[in-house]
Amino acid sequence: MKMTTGKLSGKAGGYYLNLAASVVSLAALVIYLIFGIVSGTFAVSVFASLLGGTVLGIILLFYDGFVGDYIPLGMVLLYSMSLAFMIEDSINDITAMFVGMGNLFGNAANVPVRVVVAVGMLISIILSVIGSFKKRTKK
Amino acid sequence: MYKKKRLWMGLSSICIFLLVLSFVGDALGRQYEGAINNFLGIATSRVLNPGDPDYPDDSVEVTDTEYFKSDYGERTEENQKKLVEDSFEQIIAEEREGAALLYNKDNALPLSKDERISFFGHASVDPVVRGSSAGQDPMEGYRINFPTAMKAAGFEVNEELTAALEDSPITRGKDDFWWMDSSITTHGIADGEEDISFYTDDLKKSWRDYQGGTAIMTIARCGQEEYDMQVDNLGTGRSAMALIDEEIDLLNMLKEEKAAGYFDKIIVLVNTGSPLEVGWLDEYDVDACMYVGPIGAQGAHGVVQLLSGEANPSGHLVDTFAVDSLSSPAVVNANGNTPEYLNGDEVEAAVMGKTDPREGTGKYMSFQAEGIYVGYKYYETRYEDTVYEQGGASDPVGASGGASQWNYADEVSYPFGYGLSYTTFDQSLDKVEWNADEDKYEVTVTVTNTGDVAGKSVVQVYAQTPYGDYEKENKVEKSAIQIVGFDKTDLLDPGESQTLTIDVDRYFLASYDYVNAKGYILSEGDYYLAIGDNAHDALNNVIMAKGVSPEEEARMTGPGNADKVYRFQNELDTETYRVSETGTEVTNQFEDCDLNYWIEGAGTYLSRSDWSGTYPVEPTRVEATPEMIEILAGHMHTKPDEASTVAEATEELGTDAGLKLVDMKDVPYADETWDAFIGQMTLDEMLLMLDDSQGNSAAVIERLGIPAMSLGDGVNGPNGCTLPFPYTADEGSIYGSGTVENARMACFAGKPILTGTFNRDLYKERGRLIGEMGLWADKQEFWTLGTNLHRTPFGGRNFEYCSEDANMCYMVLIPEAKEIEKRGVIVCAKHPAGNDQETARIGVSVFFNEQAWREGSLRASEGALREAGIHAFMQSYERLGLRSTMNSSAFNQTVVQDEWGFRGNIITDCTNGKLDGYQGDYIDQLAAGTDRFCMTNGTVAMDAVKKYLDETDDGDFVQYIKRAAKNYCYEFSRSNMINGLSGDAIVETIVPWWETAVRTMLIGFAVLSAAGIVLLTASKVKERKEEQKHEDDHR
Repeated sequence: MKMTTGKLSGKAGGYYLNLAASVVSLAALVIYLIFGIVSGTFAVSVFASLLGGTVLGIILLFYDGFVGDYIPLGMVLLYSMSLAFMIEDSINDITAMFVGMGNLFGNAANVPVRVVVAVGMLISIILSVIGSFKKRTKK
Repeated sequence: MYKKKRLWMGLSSICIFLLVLSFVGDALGRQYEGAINNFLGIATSRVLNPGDPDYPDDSVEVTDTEYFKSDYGERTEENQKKLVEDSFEQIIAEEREGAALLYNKDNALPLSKDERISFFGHASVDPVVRGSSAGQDPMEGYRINFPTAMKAAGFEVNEELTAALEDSPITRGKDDFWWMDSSITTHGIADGEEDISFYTDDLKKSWRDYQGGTAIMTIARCGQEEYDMQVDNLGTGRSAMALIDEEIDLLNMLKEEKAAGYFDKIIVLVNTGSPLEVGWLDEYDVDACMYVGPIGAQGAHGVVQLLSGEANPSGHLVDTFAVDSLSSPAVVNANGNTPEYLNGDEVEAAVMGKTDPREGTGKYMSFQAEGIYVGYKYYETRYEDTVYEQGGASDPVGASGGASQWNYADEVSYPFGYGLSYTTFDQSLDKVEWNADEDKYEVTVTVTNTGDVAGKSVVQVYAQTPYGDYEKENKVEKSAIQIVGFDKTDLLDPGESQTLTIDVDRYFLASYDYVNAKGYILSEGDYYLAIGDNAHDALNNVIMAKGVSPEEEARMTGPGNADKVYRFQNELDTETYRVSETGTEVTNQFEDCDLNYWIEGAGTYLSRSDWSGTYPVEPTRVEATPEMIEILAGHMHTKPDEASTVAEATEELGTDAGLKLVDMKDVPYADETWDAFIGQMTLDEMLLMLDDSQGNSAAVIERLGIPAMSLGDGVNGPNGCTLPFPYTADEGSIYGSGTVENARMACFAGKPILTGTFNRDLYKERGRLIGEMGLWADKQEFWTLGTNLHRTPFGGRNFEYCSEDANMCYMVLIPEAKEIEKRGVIVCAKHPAGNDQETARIGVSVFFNEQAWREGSLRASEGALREAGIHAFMQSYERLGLRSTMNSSAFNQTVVQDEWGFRGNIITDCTNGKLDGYQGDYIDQLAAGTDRFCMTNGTVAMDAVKKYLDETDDGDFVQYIKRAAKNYCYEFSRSNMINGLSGDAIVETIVPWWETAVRTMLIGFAVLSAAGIVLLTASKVKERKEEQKHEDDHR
């Protein structure tokens, strides 16, 4: 604990926001992976972009070199893409939720999980955006 | 500036986020462009003609380009009001002439105006006006219920009871279908009735204090798209056609109240598109019962006109009202009884795609064991065979309620064609003449009103054709009676007569022999043409004409009259209908739709030669073989070995021939000019015509003068049909009240009611009004008509189909279809053919023999497609055997186009979404004659075709794309799309405002993102230099 405290002692708000974004996106990633496999709706585009954003976030926890200031932008880009792919992929299920008529248009039962994952993505985006305004180290 | 690194980082990240969102908006906007434009009411093209203010050349001569003119003249609010009110009058007339009086003990009806009316049953205040599917709801303020209509007619109504019902929270809705009127939604379940506790002692005082008067109870059922009526209603063991507990309790209460003297009469109104079981009328001391169907927006006035005697009932049933609806042999393998394949999971896994949302729809099968014996054809045929003791007809198999023998009186409450009047008529068969030139019989009948009040009479002409050794050997089944013609008299005063001549198409007397002749035959033997008050009456007349022994006569239910029958003989004729009027041989096309084709002996069809041995007692299930599964999965089209390349096949495309769409308006389909016209398009332009977004705003081709296309959807009145002006009824009008800013299409009565008028003038008028409203609303196509069968009483969409009888469907739809198209609104009939059930409708494998198919489901659509000559149709979801209708070239091409001569555009039912399973089989479907893909809402089909062409370079496939484009253009060259188009017209594309907005945002955020990153980089460089300088200074 001491060691961790020591490692984190020099970190500023931006670092913690990126950390929080990564934790949330990792959770969304796991939920989406399970949901995608179980529902048979797994989309590589959603998963890959969300994974990319998460990996960048994790890299940023350990790296703060010259390109470090571009990584948060990459995170926002990839998280945004994952959200975009998720929206595009959810249209039929959302239509089904509103229109009804069984599974004619899509599967309304998928919508709640999709919303949870999408909210996770959105939170990650917001945290990353705010984190971009903040310093990651105190120095 | 360069010191604000964090600011540029933050702003850049915001811009990147918004840029991605703009990309999504742009991509989704492109994909759902048509749907968005439809929703926002945005036109994507405009037409400029010589003389228009914006037309660039003043010297071009102005010509009349209004090819389709409205009967109502100029577009003014006053003329529109006339159109709207004509439609209201039509709705009232449909109900007035289509509602069937079933029961009228001691002339309980008509009611006297001094009788106080108490309405019971929730549907009295919230009647089923239409079924739950795409269609038009009544305009706000213009939905009339029964108490309102009763009061308007001058009756005193129990207001307290009415108010209590109106305030009751009970609804029929069981789900949140925001796009439908939730009050008409039932999810296929009989419900929506107040519990008996609703009728408190306080409420009872509202009628008890009055003493006497009439109780009118309305019983409603409402089917729904995607959901059949329940064969086991919520696990009660009773079907949705039987009474529910709340209704039983209410009827018992009314009976007690009547016995106690609080009511003089109990009247029941049956408010549903399906034949309710009404064998209980005497049990509850009901005095009169009327089938009123889905009543439309103002139809309650028509019902009240009948109840009050202002009009005389003349409507007749178009379905058999069975004692037990489950006794129909067609129910055994259909609706809620539809079974899965024995290896359903294996089938499901094979046919479903990775992104197909329709999980669970691929594993069902329905073997139509009933053969031709749908509706009355079963009950009446079995009846005749009980009279003559043929085929074991009296055996208990199939008897209702587990009776020890089958007895007609225990099976049928009211037969097909039944309907009472307040007067009596005498119908005499004057003569029957054969018109060889027109291949028809002319049946002359004189009708005399022998009663005391004026009324209209329906003349129904039925036929019996021979069932002899040839038929038995070759499995040619024969209904003992079938309707072949009808007409309706004018209003006849007491003592007045009218002579009608009714044409009977001899084609209706032919039977399809799929075993030996493999074509239509006219059987050898005695033929009977009979008139009768209904199917059963006509059959009794035929039986008397054939002759009966005293024992046989004793087995008859009801009297017969041989004088109402014309008999003639015919030799076996296998040639007359061998070739259709197009010159195409009519022969077996659907052998692979017979289950026995795939698995020998797997299915037994009902035969009158052996009722007890062939009546289906349980659903037929088989294990699908690997060969069957391969076909079920689809995606079988392959590039031909000698196929040209796409480059070769498209080499000549885009060649200007100086032709515009309007130039093609009178060019016959087979004319080579069409090749030249289509050859002007590029492949990409043709592909624009494949995807539908409930209209097509993308297929605008300026240089060919092809504007955007707009459509409406619904049988009771297509939706999306907004008229140009508001509507306000005159003060005190019975139609309703208030101003409707977006006046729209009328909500007409249910199709069984329109059909039940037996009045071709009303069929025509319905078509005329729908066509007029389409013309006024600038619609070019309506998904409408309703060509399917009431195969069983449980069909979820019976409310929008005509009848259980295919000949009736054939005859009824022709006048309506023709009148709609006269206004330049193309009838896209839905859904040829066989879309007879909702349960598992997507993908269910329906197996049948070719006689049943051709004389049943196919015949029901044939009148509209062949005789009326409409220019579009929407296919059925259900499979024909193993192939979906969309994949069936036997249906789409050989029968519909080659045999029947249909020319126009063929669209799928809703394929919506990204489907890659059997439903998303765009390539096979195009090759099989499908032209357009319903509600793909963008470029789904186009993308699939492009992908196929890219992967295969199959140039031969281009012919199907060209055909689809030709059929699209051919259809709309016959529509009001060409109104306002002269040869000199200019079609201009209009970019919707939202597209401009989204693209502006996209560009803006891209620039801002780039700028932010540049500034960030500059800041970092500056920062780095400063750090370097700082370090250098320290050193």
